[in-house]
Amino acid sequence: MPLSEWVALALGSIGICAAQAVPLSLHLRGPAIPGGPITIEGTAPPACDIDHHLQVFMAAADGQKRPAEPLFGAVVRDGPSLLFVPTFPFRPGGTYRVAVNCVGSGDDSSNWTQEFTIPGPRQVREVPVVEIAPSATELPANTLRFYVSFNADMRGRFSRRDISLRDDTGREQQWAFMSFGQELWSADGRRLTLLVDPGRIKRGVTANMVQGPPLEVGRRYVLSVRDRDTATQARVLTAAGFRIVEAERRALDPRAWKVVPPQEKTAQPLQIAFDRVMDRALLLDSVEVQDASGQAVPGALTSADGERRLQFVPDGSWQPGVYQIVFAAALEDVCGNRIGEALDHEIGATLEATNRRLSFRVE
Amino acid sequence: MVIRGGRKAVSGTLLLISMISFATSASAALRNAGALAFSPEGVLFIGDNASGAIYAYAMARGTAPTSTAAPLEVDNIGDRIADALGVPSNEVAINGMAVHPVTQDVYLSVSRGYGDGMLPAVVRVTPEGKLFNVDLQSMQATEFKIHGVPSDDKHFRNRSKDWPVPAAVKYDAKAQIPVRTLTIVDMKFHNGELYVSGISNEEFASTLRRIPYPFTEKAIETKIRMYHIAHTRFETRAPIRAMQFATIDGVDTLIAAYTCSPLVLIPVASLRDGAKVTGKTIGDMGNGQPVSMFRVNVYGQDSLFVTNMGHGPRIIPLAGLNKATEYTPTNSPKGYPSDLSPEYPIGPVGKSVMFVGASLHADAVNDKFLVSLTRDAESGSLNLEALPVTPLPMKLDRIWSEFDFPGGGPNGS
Repeated sequence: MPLSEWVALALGSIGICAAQAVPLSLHLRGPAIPGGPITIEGTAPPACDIDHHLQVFMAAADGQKRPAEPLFGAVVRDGPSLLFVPTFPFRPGGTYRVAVNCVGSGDDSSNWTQEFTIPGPRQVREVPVVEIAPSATELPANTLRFYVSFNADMRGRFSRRDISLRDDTGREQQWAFMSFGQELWSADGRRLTLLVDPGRIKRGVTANMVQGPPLEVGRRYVLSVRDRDTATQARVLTAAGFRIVEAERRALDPRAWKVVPPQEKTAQPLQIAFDRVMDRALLLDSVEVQDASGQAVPGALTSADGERRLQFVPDGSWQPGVYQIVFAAALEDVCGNRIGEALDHEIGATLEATNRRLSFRVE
Repeated sequence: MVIRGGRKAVSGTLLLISMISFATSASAALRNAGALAFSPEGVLFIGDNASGAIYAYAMARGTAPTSTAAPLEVDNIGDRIADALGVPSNEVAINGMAVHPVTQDVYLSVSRGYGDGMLPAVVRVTPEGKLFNVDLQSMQATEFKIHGVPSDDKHFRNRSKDWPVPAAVKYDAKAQIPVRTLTIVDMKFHNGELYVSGISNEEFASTLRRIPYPFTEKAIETKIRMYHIAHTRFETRAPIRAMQFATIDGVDTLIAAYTCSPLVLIPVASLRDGAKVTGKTIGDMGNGQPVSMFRVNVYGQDSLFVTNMGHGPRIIPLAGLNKATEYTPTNSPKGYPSDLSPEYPIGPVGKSVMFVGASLHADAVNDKFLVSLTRDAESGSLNLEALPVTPLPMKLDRIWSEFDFPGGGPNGS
């Protein structure tokens, strides 16, 4: 018997004759839209006014002995279903418990409870693996970007607030990173980008002249990532320390890079040594190795040595011949300098035309 | 809000959308629920330092409680509010408290979550200890925008060199706090106007704003200067931390408490727009930071009850403030007097009374009881508790004395 009918009976009339024993049998559908209500459907005994006895709780944390307060929210009837609309949105990844307690209905199955978890980044109980780039221990004072990379989609679970940059006196550098009102996540939600405020780096731009650069030459800093989902104080998942050296304002020039070719018939890595720290994300996206006919060689790129070296391991083995390494125009170092174009250049400086290819021979 | 079945069934999604969009623009502008105050008719004022405004919610006047409920006692209220708001306990901050003058419900302003996702909330606690969400979105609100809010980049001075403890990193963190977080410190409704203490963006920062209600564009702004006995100087920046009104020496007077802790009288008539007023310092309650100040009746004596972050509460008879000596550089103790100085506490500042725990917010509930949001020292739990004003606002469950022993009770019991 659908809920709507017995509810109409229960509310509309007095002295209901509960001739049939209708069991309490409910099931739950999770929110169809993020932040949306949960839906409860099923049957209930006529005497059980579930509209007034439906509550949702936070699922008890481990060791929590006290009874939980029910969530603020509204119970809304939608035809045969009941919706619970939380006043404040359900948390992605959060676990809750919906309960219907039919007090005084005299029925054995007069209570029903079910846990549900809101989709989203999983409530990670194991420690997420986190990496910070650049990983170099020395960085130029005009470093533009940091990346925090996770082993899973962490949108909603981590934000800039979990990342702290402190100098060697422990002072938090709070306005070093730009705030856009939203986080800069990669498409797969595994990499968070932190942009150092370029107004504080570019010479002669107001913020730099008033506040000073966020990273001072000669000082050491620590960038750390905290896990705030733990029950006790946030613990540090990883930290990267680095010392600041002079700003890097030269354009990239592949002619300054050294290529160490592999030997033929091996799968040795091709090594490229740069003259500076490169942007890891762009490095891994902007380099292609081509054979003599211009075909891309399949293989894997990894950065090494604090993003000062790039290694390319082919899927097969190297055939003898001449190869080319092609660098995309988007390639940057950690300071935003590109091939033939420095990020911070005098107004009116012309861009040099620089070759974006290097060749090497395998023999 | 419950929709009963049997009426026209509404599509759940449409209803949800209508619930979300049913909000006055003023309610939607509330970003941070801070200091709270009520008018005698039950209009709720919320101070919002994030948007630099005050929001007034005209609610139904309500009726006095008829039940003879036991004194209010809600243990772990922070946890319970967190449950009700659907967040872990460490993501709830209780910012302010006020008791409804008619219903005696305790209203708590709350920050839920933090950072970009922080949401403001107001929770109502009935005398029976039940929690309800105050649905600000569905209420009519009017907004008063404060003028002269300091910009976000203005911060406090770093005091790490002033004092050896705690470690400098904590002073560094304190110095990063924007000064605008003190734009609105305390609010009290008096004779048709909302009085707001706090600071402005000027060098002479301590500002008292008188805002007529219903709100218009207008407010009277007065700068307040006072002689700080412990600091041995006139001060113009530190805001009034707590205030009350009473008739002193025959005139309507604002009684102001400052940190470390002068008690200052300011005739309301002197609070004129654009004026710079020097208050009359009549005493110092001791080093520490006043938190809440409200009127109580102690054995027939009209008095102030003043709580303090660094001290137990004081009960100050209002009669003693009449014809009080004014403290100025000439007649005040020299050399940074402190709690250890023989003169302290100085002036007619009443007596310190027993209180167990640290009161974070307190207010009068009725003639006999006050309510306090108290952090218990031993367990750390945050409890909302009613306490008798007389004989003493104390609890005995964690105190051990002769009375606890058989034979040691009253009359040898």
